[in-house]
Amino acid sequence: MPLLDAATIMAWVQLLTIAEKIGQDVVFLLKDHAQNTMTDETWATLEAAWAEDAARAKRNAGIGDPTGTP
Amino acid sequence: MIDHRKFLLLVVNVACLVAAGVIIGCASVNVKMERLTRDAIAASEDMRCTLHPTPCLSDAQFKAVNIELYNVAVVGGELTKLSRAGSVAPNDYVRLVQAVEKAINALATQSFPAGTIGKILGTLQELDAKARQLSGGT
Repeated sequence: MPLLDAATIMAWVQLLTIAEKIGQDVVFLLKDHAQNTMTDETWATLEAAWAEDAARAKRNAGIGDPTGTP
Repeated sequence: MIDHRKFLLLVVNVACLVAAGVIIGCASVNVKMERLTRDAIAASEDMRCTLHPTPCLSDAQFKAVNIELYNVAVVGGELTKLSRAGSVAPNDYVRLVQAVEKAINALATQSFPAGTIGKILGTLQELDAKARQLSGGT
């Protein structure tokens, strides 16, 4: 019998998906704790990522760019 | 008959998976919302007519989608700053819910080609659900 057949791998993937969802639910219950675990560096990275997202969407939308060139 | 060793192994495995899920979730409670927005932007870029065979988003539709995603990203960034300062209240997330809802409604009311906005809409709906949970809503 093979160690990992397709059905076993699929079962593991499903279990991981369920576990990840449970994990997220727990996080929402403990959101204050989750925020406290963020380091300054992580926050700074996150803020930069949001700014990057905004700049990218703005560029795509042609906001503030008279030529509308994305 | 139950094989007790296998049963115990299964219990330990599930416990480890749930623990892994908690760790993944903890690491991503704030980060995940940003990633969803990024995914939505990337999905819109993927569906652009200049890159994608039909059905695809025209330039005007692409811009319309990204105007909404820009608003979502701006609100998300502001909330992150508040959150970092420790001065974010559940009510503040209502603004994010509203921005995401506006984006979803904008996508729903325009006549995009079938199949072009599924992934964008999917990520926004997931973002909407998370923002609602953080805002204390349902």
